[in-house]
Amino acid sequence: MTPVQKQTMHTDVLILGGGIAGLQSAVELSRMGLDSVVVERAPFPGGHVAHFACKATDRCQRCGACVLEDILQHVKSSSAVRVQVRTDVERIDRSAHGFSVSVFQRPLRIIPDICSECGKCEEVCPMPGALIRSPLDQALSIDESRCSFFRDRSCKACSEVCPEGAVDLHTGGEEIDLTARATIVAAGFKPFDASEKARFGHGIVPGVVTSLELDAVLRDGAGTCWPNGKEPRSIAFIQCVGSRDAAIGRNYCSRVCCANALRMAKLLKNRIQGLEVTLFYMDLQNFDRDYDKRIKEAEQEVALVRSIPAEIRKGQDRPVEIIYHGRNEERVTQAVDLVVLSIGMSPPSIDFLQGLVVGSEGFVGEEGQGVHTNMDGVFVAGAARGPKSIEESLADAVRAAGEASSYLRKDIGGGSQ
Amino acid sequence: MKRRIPESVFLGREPLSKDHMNKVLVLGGDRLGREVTKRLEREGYDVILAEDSAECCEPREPGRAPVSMLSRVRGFVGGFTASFATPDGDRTERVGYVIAAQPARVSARHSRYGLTRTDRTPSLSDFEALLKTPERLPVRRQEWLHVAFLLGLEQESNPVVFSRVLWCIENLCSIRNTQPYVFTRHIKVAGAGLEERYRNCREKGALFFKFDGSGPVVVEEQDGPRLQFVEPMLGMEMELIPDLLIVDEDLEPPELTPLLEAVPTAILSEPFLQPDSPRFPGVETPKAGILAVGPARGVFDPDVVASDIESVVAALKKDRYWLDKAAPEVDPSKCTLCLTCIRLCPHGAITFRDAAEIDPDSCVRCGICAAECPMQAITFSSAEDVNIIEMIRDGVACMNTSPTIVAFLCSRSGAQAHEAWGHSLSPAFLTIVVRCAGTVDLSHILAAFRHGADAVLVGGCFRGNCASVYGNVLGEQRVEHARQYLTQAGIDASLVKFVSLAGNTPLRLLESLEELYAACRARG
Amino acid sequence: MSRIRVNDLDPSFKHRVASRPGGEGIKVCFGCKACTAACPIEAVHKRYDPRKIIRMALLGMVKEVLESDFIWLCSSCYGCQEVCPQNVRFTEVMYAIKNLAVSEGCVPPGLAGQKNLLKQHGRLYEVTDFENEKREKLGLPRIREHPEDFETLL
Repeated sequence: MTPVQKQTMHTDVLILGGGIAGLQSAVELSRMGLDSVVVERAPFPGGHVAHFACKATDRCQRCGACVLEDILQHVKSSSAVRVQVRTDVERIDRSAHGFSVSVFQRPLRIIPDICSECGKCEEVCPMPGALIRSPLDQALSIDESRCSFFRDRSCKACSEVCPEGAVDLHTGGEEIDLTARATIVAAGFKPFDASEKARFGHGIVPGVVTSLELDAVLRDGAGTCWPNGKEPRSIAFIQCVGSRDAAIGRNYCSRVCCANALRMAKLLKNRIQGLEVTLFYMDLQNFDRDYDKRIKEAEQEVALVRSIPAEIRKGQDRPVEIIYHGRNEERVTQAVDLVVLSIGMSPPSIDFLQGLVVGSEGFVGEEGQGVHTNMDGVFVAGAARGPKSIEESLADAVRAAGEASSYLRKDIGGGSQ
Repeated sequence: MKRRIPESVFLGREPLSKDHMNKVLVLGGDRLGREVTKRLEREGYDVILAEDSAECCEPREPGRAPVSMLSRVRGFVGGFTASFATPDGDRTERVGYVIAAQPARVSARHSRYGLTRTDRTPSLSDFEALLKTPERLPVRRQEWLHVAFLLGLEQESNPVVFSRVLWCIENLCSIRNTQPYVFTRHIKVAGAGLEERYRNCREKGALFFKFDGSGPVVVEEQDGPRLQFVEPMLGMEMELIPDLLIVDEDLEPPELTPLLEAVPTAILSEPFLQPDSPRFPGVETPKAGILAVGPARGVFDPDVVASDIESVVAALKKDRYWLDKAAPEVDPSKCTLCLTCIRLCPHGAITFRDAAEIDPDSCVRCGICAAECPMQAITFSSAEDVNIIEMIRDGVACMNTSPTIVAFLCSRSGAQAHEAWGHSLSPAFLTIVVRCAGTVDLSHILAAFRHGADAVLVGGCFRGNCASVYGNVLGEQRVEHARQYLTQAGIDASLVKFVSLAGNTPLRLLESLEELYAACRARG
Repeated sequence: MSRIRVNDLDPSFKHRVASRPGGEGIKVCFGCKACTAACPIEAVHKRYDPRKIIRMALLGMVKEVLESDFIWLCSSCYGCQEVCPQNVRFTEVMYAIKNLAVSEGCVPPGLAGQKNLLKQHGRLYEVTDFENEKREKLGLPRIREHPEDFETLL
């Protein structure tokens, strides 16, 4: 294997996380004349939003997912923004001029300029999930943690089959020493692990999926790849899975799930004739400017049940059964084809930034401090700061970029005096 | 679609003037306006803050007019004229930008519950004020034994108001013996720290009643109001005679009429300055130079409002890259002043003197005016119009596929969806990227056929998702028009199609193209 | 049915329950219904509904709660506690409520009878010669009653 290469880089602002908050921060900084390096772990930028489906029926439902494509266009056209994908932050230290950062970029493995995206490698790859396509531009990459070559060198099928010679299994990674004057933490959120709530059957009962899984399925073209093979006639959404739950230390509302579930319900009803949708909830949270109207529409389209089910299990005639206490004060066993768990947002793990204070819920920053953190020159934007919608994350990114730029100007001012 | 000609665009004989790019008028009224002002001054802008309340503002300019006297705003970015009708006569200010940063209008909901505002039935604001002045609290504590809140029953509440109710309860619970009750529908916990505060309030003893169907009935008796209700969890008929009954409030956007005249057409049905669209996620409105902050755009959450302040700075500095392209040009000899362009421009970028005149700084180059002008007096030459026809001609000529499909794709949706396919789409598709589906007109569609295309697809944004508000709708209408036209001429109109797309719906684009392709093949 | 006047109920009752060991969590219930859906008793006996018992206690319906027979139906399976998102620990709340009921003299007749048996015989059943003769035949020692042990314990 080719030895690891070394590189050094200087930038104004280091942005941790290439989701919408990080990318938007970078775009805003570039408008203020500041350079940034966006560090992203995944093989493509966009974060969770890159997997979100458009929720439009015949009209837009204002979910905001399409905004990512706009932001990426700006990123591509800006010379002030550098996005480092497949990159992990190893450590961040304070230095005289700001931050000194070591990152490691895993090699690309499939060279985009050579690859013709023919898909032959996908056909021969024996390891599920080892070859990944970017949902944004279909570009292929290899997930080394799943590829058997990187486990025991047992398989080189992709490299052998590739007609273009675009697969490179041997290049070493690149260590980059980066210096930055300010840092924006835009590490997003971790989705709640639904298996922690075993009684809802995720991973046990076929036909129980998370909201994020359904979103990805809808983006990739529903109808051909339903989780259990055929188009559902009935779907139930369970809200607050891993939210509003003091018993597991997550006593906060994830803020976006009511909107997401109702938008998804509307979209699915639009796509599937005669689909029955039930939504189990505790309290419905507002979304959109015209929320009263939206909720009245929802009452017409969706069976809204104010009840949290006790158990979800494998059904008899239909794939899934939900047991809950119904409106008429009786125990109901409802059979459905698909259950969608609206999973909450968990704080991201940021272990490489020593001393960064998190709030009681584990998200970065403290209440009332906005995008500021306890560390001078470190700002936080988007869902890393607490559950946020796409629009709110964008607003947050603008704010963090503005504060970072003010900080840097102050910094220069202080230095010259 | 209801449309009205914005009065503001009539400049009379005044020439377009851009001499005030550094001057900003902030319409304020509380802390928000002052914070926006402070922030912009730090950026070096010359700010006029218009606000009403006397306590908060030392007049920085003698004779400055309060915001309530703003009578209208007209003009274009860089050169707005704001008129104030003051008791001393009309005053005008010339500014480059106008920023609506007024506080929300707060109105108590008494009438919705058939109540009148009294000491016994105060509004939430009244009660907050009372709690903030302990000397006005009742002497005998037991007077406030049962304190009830009506919250979001007739109309939904929101986290901002819920947070205020929690604040009242937190303070009430320090008064011994008080039992708070909250009558509501949905607990609005979608705000920072609210769930935890809600839990603490329950811990302190507050009781929450969440109604699904009909909420409590308020009966006015001699001894005060009574709440009669079916307890939602127990199904039992109950009655509460509260010592205090606190009524919640609506938060509404501020009065924006003078500005609505400057921001045209698209949003007249709404009290906001922005259309309900993810294309306007920040403070910008469809009209360049007019920005809406916080309540003026329906945002009340203090955390998001704080972001809005920063967004103002970003918006003023925003690099409007489309300005590099020339705006459409009006041929004065052809213009008959029919006002079609002024009526339809979603950005309020057109005025007229002897002929229609387009403000290049307000124009976003969507091309709607050029497509709609019945006299073909507007050409979008440098950017699109002539080029499009050339692109069709050259493109179709060098394609040797059969059938050949020309796809006009909006740069913000269809073109992005197309890009997601990389190079993997069939060479049978000639894609022409247009800035907005509203650019495509009959002549383009006919040109495609004339130069040998077998089918035409126009891919624009979904309704409610157009950056030019309704460019997509106009585009779709024109496709419909083209279909009628073709049908009347005896040509199969099923080969012309409009499809709504977004950047993240590449499959939908593919399906539409395949459908057209199959239709062409079937036709032979 | 006449309306229940909330003003006549006892708002301090919930605080009293909460101050008892096990009763601490009662006030944070937000009524999500998960406990009711998980309760095996509720499935066969509609009058036993964890969520409703909590609600009645929160509203201060003291008499209705303490004098009712349904508070004694809990099987202590802890199913409710398992599903509760707010950590109400309802099974333990029920112990607290039952203890309160007893201390206020609200004991259902069956339970009172059992208590008397314990007091008289030291066990829930009286041991008669019939049992002891049978034991002797099997070579087992006779059982002697020690009610005095329970006097000490109770």
